[in-house]
Amino acid sequence: MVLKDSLNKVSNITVKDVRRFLKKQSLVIGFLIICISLALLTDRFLTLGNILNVIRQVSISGLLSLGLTFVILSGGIDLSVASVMAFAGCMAAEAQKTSLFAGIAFPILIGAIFGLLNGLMVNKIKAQPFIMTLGLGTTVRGLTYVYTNGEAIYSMTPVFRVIGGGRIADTIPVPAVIFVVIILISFVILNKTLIGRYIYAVGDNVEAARLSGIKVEKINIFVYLVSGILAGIAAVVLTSRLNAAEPIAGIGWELDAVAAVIIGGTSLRGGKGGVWGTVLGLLIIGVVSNGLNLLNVSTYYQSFVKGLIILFAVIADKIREYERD
Amino acid sequence: MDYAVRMEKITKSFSGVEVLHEVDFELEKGEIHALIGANGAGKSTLIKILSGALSKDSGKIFVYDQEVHFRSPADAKNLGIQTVYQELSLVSNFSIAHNIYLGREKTAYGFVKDDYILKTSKNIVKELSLDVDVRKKIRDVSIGVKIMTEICRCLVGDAKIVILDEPSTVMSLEELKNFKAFIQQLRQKGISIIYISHRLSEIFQLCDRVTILRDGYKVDTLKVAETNHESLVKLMIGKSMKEHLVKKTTPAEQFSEETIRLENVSNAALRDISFSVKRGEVIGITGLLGAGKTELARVLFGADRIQKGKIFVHGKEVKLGHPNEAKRYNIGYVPEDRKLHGLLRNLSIRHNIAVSNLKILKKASIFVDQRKERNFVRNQIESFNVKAVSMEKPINSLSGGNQQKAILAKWLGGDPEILLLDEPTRGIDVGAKEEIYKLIKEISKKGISILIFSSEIEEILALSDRIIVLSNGSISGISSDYDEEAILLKSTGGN
Repeated sequence: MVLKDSLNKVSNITVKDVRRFLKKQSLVIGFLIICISLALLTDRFLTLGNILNVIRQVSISGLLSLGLTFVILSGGIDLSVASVMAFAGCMAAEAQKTSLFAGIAFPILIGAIFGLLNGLMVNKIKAQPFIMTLGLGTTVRGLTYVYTNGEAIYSMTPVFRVIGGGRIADTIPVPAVIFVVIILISFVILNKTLIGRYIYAVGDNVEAARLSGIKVEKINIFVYLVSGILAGIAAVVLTSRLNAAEPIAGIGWELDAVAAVIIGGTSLRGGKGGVWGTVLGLLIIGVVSNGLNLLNVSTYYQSFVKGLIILFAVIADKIREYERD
Repeated sequence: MDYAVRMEKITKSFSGVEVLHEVDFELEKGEIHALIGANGAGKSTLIKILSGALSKDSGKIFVYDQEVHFRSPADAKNLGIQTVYQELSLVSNFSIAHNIYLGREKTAYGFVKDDYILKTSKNIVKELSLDVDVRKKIRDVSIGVKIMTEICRCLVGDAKIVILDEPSTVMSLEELKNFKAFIQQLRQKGISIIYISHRLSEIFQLCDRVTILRDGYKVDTLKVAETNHESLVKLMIGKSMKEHLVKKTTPAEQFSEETIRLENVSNAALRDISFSVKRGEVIGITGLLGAGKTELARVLFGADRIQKGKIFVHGKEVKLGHPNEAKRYNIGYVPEDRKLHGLLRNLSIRHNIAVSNLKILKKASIFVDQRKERNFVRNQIESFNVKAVSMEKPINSLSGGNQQKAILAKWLGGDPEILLLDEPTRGIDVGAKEEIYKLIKEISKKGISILIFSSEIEEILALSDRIIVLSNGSISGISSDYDEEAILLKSTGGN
């Protein structure tokens, strides 16, 4: 009798709850399926070296995605991140000549200033963030070309090169460590702090948030500031890793960064999603392109596959939304 | 008798739960027939079956004495049954004329014939003695005109039977008068109308007969002329509403300490508003649409600025430039439009109730104390009787009445001294209304000053210690013993 009851319970669970669980965790499941297939297809995939390699590869664009997660959750968008990163990268290359500290602090400051500018413009002019940040991004990219005359800046000091190229205990890449630390900080801010709650509230319904006593302007400044600062940090890591600051660095990365956020289930309308989604989105993109490399698939196919993943993610999200209603 | 629609013994279940039980419904030709019932009574299910959006489990439907079987909304539409939903489907940047012909544009060689659309729209509108310029854009017209535009669109689509799903929840008294004339014209044209509404007073003005549903059963169909407000409510909720309609009578001397005072407050929408409110007092503020109710509420909550005049809280002059500042003076605001201004729709009930109270739920100055938060929210949910499965569910999953209770719970969590309620019971059913009235009375007993901004006169009369009537942005009367007539007179500018 007892056995029958518990069997019943189990079968009850299998019917509804498993389906709900699968739907809710479809991203994780998708990721695991990709990983398992790749592990079966190639024996190089599931090695510590390769996994760390994947994390290192996504870490730089991942910083941009994390910044964008803040902005998108609040209902905005920041298309200037990649250009700000390129400009800040050049500034990093110049500043690191004087000291390591300057090489890190100055580009981050530059990123913060542009982030602040974005936030202020969105607040004061009340224009669409899409076109506003696109405008600023294009301007900054132009500024970078003018400053460098279109040429890369070389020769980083050995100590500066550790940031992008070094490994802790000869195994863990420094960029991966930076990335993980920023992930954790972002998670804590978005989930544990007042400002995190306010970001979600503003993203869900600006007017309701304002009437709840939330200073929407402050939240806007905050999210664009975070995005700018993370673009600055990405600039430091990228310049150090490439041992050069290129004015064409990261062209198109802003859209890749947005794609990772969206694949992770964060809604472009704001208020829905979070850091883990973005991390998963990044890992899916990273693992797939890593897998294609390991399988010797031509790079031409990679963009094609990435596009399919984005389309698939959007369709899956819509289906979930439809079924909920 | 000629029937436009006859529904016989309609039964419908959702996953084993019967929501309609052998419901009969008859709509006479040229009749305006009200369909009322509390939330969950089965109104919308019945309507969805009639409009082909849902299929019935059993029963028969006759349209003009022909039995019909709808397989999709298109089938119902082809027979001339059209529905105007609460969420209107108009394009706000198009003119009235283009909205009337939306989806049915007349074209020549692929080009839209604007002249034709304009001319025929003008005729339709004139025939229905509607006094509007059809070239006006939808975003520039009142809600009443929008609804009438929707109905005109149904007529272009050869509608014989029009279902109005709670069209008037946001119409003012004046608009209602125009609407009434408009509906009479439709009747002249032989069009039958099913009218769903929460506002009973309208039914007495507009309708011929009324059918009451309760818990999936048809209670009765009555001639409107042969019944009254009281008995309809009794039929809807199965008990008398008398209890909460008894006027609150607190002797004036019991209020002593002043909480908020306005002196000659003016801005674009308000002129020289002066009054003061005492601790524990309930002030009802009413008036026609555009009289300045919402504008006054927004000023008191710092959502809009004042240009002239002064506001005092506890005798001290204050500047209210942002809702945040109003909050600091312990002023709470429950906005008029729940969906647009009140709710964080996709976020959890917990998030919604906590969001304006995080300052008292924090630790180490920037973190949310999640244990404190959960306790706080649980407490609020219980004391405001919000019916929720779990506080982690999206607030969207609650019924309208429970959403409103959750919003009250959110605002009373911060222990406000002054509470502004803008249309606190709009669009919620009679049962939930009753509960909210009870809550309001309890809150005022705790010494909180409450300002209710409402266009429902019964509500104002039932709850207020004093009533302020607004007209054209200024106060046209303040009194503690107005009746319905006096309020109507004052709000239309009479003496």
